[in-house]
Amino acid sequence: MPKSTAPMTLRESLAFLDWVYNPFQSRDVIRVYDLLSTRTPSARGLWLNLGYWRDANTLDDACEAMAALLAERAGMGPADRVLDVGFGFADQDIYWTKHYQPQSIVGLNITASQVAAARTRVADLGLADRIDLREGSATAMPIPDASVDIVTALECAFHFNTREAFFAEALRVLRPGGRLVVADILPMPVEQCWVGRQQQRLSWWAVAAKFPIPEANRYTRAEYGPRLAAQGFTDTQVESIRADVYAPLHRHLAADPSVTQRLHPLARPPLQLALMVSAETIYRGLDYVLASARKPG
Amino acid sequence: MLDKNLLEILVCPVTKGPLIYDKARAELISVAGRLAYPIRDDIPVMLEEEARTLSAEEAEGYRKGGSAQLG
Repeated sequence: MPKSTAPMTLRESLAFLDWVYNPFQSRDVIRVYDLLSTRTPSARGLWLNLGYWRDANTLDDACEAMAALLAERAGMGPADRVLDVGFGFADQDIYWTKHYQPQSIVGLNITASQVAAARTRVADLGLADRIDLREGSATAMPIPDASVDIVTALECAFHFNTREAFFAEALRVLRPGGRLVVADILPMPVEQCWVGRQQQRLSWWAVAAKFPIPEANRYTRAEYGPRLAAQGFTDTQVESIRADVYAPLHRHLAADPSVTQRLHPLARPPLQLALMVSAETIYRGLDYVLASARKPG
Repeated sequence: MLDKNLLEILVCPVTKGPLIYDKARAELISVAGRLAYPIRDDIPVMLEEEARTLSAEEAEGYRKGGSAQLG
């Protein structure tokens, strides 16, 4: 397990502190994930997603349930060639290979440190012939036309510059009839009441500032399907699963101190502070959608 | 060590055209894009901003001797 237990260097700690406390800086995606490195709060594996909590009681179970949700929606099976963009540490790719046995999984990720760590994990598990991970961009894929059956993006498409450029590339590399499945973070539709609106803006801003989200990706779930269709996708389905993501995660973190203990000490106080506020307030501006679409043919 | 099957499923992210594997230099060459993508620790880095631009002579060299360079 390449999970990092080494203490952070002073330089890393200062950068981490700056990331957590300074709202006026913005980092690019690569620098944020390089900084977070392998310090994820999950107990087994290095899961980076927020989890799907409908039937889960632990963070790891919830993360696996999110991966399973995408695979089920895609109808993943032994005949499928899967392309997974923004794979993090490839936990979902390892999970899918074990539980759905797709023919192959190719992963693209622009964060070099994640690619290197994930490749080592996959090789250690003896899955290097099934899962092929490399440095590449979701908006300029090094993948031939019509060469994959399923494209997945688990909680990362909001980073892509832009999400629609990713939709266009996904359509290109999918074979006719191939499926795109995305778990994605969006702003909520704007509320009528003034207080609600302010809380929404703060909530969205807190996330967009910490994890760089291009302004072009800031639209609500009502626009998601039409934007997929505009790129040429059909059978678009977009549903909000936010009720099974944010509030139960928040309740879990508040109830289980061992999760925050696994974070770097510098990251604990802001999380503990946030946990004293209700989930409804903190996540008021955030939507979480499961979206799927099919390439015609 | 980069196997041939892997090379078959890679294209240049800019031109979407084929790549030539230059084993000696540890690079993947896109002749049409005049770009050389590095292979670092066996990981092909398929990002335009990480690629080296080929000179006209280099590109011509690969164009002529292209298939012979395949590793």
